[in-house]
Amino acid sequence: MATDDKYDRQLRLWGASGQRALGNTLVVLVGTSACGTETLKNLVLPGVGSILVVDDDDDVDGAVTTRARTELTDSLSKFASPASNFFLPPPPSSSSSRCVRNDDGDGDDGNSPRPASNAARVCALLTELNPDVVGHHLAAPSLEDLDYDSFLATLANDQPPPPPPSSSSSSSSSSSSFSSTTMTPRTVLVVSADQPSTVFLPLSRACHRRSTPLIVVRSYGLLGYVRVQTPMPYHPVIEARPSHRLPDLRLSSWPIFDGLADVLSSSTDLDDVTDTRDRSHAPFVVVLLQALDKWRRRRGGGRGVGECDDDDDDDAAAPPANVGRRQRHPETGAEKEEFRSIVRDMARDLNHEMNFKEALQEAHLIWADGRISEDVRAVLDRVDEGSFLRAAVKSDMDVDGGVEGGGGEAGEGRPSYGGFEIPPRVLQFQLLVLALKRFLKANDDYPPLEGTIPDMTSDTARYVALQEAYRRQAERDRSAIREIAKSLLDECERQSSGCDLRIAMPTDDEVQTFCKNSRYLRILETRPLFAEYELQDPASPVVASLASTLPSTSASHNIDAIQSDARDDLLATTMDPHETDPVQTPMLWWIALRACDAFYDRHQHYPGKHDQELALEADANEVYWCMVQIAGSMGLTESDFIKEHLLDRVRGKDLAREVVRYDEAEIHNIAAVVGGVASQEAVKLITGQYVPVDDTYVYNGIASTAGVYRF
Amino acid sequence: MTASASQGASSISSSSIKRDASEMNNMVTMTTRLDANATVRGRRRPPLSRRQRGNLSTLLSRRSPFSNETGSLAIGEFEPSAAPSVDGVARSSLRDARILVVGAGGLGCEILKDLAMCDGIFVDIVVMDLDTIDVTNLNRQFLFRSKDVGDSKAAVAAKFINQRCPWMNVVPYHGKIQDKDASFYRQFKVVISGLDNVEARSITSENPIPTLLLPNRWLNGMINNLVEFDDDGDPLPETIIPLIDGGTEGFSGQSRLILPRITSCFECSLDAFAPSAAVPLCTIAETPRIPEHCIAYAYVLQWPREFPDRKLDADSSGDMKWVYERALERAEKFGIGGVTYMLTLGVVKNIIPAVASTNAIVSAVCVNEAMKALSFCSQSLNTYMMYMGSEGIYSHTFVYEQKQNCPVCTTTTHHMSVSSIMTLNSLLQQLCDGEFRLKAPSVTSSMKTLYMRKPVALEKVTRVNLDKPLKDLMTSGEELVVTDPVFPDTSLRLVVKFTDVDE
Ligand SMILES: [Zn+2]
Repeated sequence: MATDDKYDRQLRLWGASGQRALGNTLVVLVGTSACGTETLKNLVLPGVGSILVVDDDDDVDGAVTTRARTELTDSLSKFASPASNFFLPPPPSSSSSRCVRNDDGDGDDGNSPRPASNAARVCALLTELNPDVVGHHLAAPSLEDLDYDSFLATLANDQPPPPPPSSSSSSSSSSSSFSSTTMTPRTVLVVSADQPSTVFLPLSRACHRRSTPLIVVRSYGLLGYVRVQTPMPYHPVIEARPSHRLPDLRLSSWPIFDGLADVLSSSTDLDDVTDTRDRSHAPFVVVLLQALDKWRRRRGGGRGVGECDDDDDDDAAAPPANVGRRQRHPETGAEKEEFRSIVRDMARDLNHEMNFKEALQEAHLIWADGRISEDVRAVLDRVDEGSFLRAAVKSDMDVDGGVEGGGGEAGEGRPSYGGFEIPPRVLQFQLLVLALKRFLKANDDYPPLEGTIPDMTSDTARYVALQEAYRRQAERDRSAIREIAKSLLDECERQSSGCDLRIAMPTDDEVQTFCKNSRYLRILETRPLFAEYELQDPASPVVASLASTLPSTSASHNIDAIQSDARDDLLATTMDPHETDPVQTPMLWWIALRACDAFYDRHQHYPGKHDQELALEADANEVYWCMVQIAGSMGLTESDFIKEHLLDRVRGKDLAREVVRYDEAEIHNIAAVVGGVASQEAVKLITGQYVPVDDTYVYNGIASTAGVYRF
Repeated sequence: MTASASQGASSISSSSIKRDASEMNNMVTMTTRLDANATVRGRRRPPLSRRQRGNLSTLLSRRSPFSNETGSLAIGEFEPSAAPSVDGVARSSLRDARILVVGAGGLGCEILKDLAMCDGIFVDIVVMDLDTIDVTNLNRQFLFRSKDVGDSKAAVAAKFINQRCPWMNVVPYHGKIQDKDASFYRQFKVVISGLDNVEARSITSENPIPTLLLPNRWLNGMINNLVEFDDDGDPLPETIIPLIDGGTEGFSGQSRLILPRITSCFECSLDAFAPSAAVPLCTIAETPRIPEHCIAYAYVLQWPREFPDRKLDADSSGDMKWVYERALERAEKFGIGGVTYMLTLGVVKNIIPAVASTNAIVSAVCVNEAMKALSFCSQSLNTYMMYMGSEGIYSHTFVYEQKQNCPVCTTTTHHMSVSSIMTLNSLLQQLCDGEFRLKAPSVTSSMKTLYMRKPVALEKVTRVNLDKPLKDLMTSGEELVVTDPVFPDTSLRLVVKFTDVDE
């Protein structure tokens, strides 16, 4: 074996920092169905720090038990009968099986042996996959009665245990865990698997208030979905890792940075070079810059419109304070063509001068704008110094306000949605973004240089010199960012009047990663799951309080705006039916699934329980009625697509019949697709790399179509 | 914690163990608090986890408005079985269906598990893989443990599944797919292929560009070739074996359903797997610029010079360290940064990043299609689904059209116009480099064998033809028959016309 690192194949995707983030995360699974265990399997294998499996259980009489580990016994790892969940052996038949242990392993047969709970059995089979992962399990009498707020509060601490119950004392201890920056706070991510709304809605509220990412997974017959709820205030992405990166060469900026100017001035004019090898091994960057110079001279001195400046070389060293001084580069189609023909004329033999060929292909880099994009501008606009300073030095006072006391009412009607604590990861992101903003102001909106160049035809010396010029400039930009961040922290320090800060200076590696990726910064903010349900019910008091916290593009924060915004999103997606078979458009099936949930709320069981044709048809009628209601409350009844395929009674009823046929079946293949997608999203949320889905992925296993919707 | 935590040691594991103690304390505290809550509330109904849900048998026993024959790619007509069985008793026709799983790696492990979890309706599986288990497999190939490193993938995977799922009968075959002939492949009702898309190990100093996709193409050719036709030239349905193919790379992957001679086949989409442009040897030898060039220099040029009698073993850490150190020396000499051991491994072995999650998605989509193609209980994928997970999720299902003139799934004769003085060797080269992307073609004309690679004796006799101009070997417009290892038991019919000869 050439390496003994079992994580080698994934480190190539998310690197050592991503792996550290995984190792520092606790994943909580609520529900032990197949799509939940499949999600966890794909997180245990790559080495998540620990897992906590939670489920409700008949055998727990009012007592909640947690155990770190259940021994893996033969009876656990050998399934007695066919199943649909690879990590949950079918419950042993009552007579033979009551000797399965659920204790920590000491004392082989206690006096009252109980069968291991679902959570215990799942935990044992999952942790067996990877000895690096610590497993816990918890059996509760009812998932619908759990107080998820205090549950999450306890999990967030990576400190010695907080003093027990009384709400005031525990709140101060939980926030004190951030007071020391030497302690890395543990990240928590929650997965809700195959739960009805009576569980996932309270869980969604608690996660929202606790700023904890939540992934809701569901497999239902041949259908399934994965829904992401980002933590408050948003999920920052520094390493978006786009599949295509435009080289950051800064050829169109004026003046070009010193190092590049030096490379250019030390290169002989290629027209004067006679040695063919010499000519054909000049990097295309030099070719393009010399061509640009020609183009500017041809354009009459190459000065910007109405501007005149005599001494380019001196100018290059000066800070680019005056935008008006920027020299022009080809902009119109005709100018670009003119530029290309200059390059073509410079070449003597395009078939043998690969560098000139490359210059032609890469000519667009001359007019590529290296300044910050609109997308990144939107990210910058979300961060301001005032609120950052307040959050960074915020005392423990109102941090947990309105959360610990939340209890079972789950905050209905209380304007407490803003009462979350900004997570340290977000604070650090904000610090660097603020540093970037100041940097941009001083640098004509050019972000820190990336510092790497693509491979290009060249001899070694000239390529290495060019690479070195970019690397040095990138290093200079990076230390500028670092200095700005430091001074921002100093300001925090001054305002904190002695209190500890909730943020420390990022490491050099972190600053470097940020600078290298500053052209691709992203913020993801999903609409919380509970908000979807409540937005559809205008009578809900929560809508009012949400209106004050949800992002709004317009200045007016009103309910109508939020509702119509949500509806417009959905309406737009109905314009995009599946091309070969519109009825397999996942949106239709999502509505059918919502109808099954509504059916459950009315009957406490899912449709299709009974095999008789008449019973199935009756359920289908009711599910169809629910579908029509839901389509209405989603504001979709005006959509031609919905009219044709759902409101049309004959077609719509077929959708209902199909979901009724399922009897909420757990089909392993669907659960595995859903678990695979969910774990991929989990990795993105945990590592802060790549871009998570916004916000729901619906898989239709009937014809294997899928869609992404924002609900 | 048990002692097992010391295996596969990494810095991550030790930190998580340290945390364990305090975590446990927290749990206990939480327990008491939740406890108090629960007793206050009391219980209303049985736990949600114990609710009865339907399963695959439910689907198989109930009619559907969306059964297979209603879909845009219909394979068969759905007949709901009688009552759903509670205890996994045989549903005769499906239980007899033997399934072939090709590959027991990242996709194969998932595929086997998915088949085993089909509620006991699939039992007879054959799994083929020629590989042994490596430690870098363990982050996703979840049927293997560190104690299994070095053992046969097929054997360990089959044993694991048979053990956990005693109703399963998975038979392993440790070897190449090319070892088996048509009579072997004919016994299966469906073939699921989860092969790595690149023959990583075929990279040598003579052949620095990996030979792409040979096993996939061979298998596709074999399954397409099993189709027989009736007198009207229509394919006989009972000879069509659905081939379901999956592949992944990082966060992206694809699944597709191939109905031989009816839908597009693997060969039809060969262009989608464009081979990456090779770095010219002169760059590697004379003008290195990036770390990859230095690594290539070390293993393509330096290794054979230093060890003329021994092939580089990319799995040996000794060999790889040697390559890494030579690459580093060269990089330092030229002032090039960035040569690391990890990059060296990646370049030499042409490593494709792989994670559990993507394998899970692609495999489950494949097995779901297998389930439907055998039971007809729902519609079939028509024909190609791609999944890209790195920037949000982009997932697209579409009909991959059959390629006109596909040498495998159509019966077209191909035409080529060349100069009559072109040598046979150049013609063969063109077949390798051009659209057909052959690997080692042999050619016969209607009159005689022009060039045959095997057996050795025949190769010797025909080798003299390689340097002859075509006009000495054939006439213009003559039909040649080309065989190649990428097309098992089948051949390419090629009409070659001379551009410089009047007919
Ligand atoms: Zn084909």
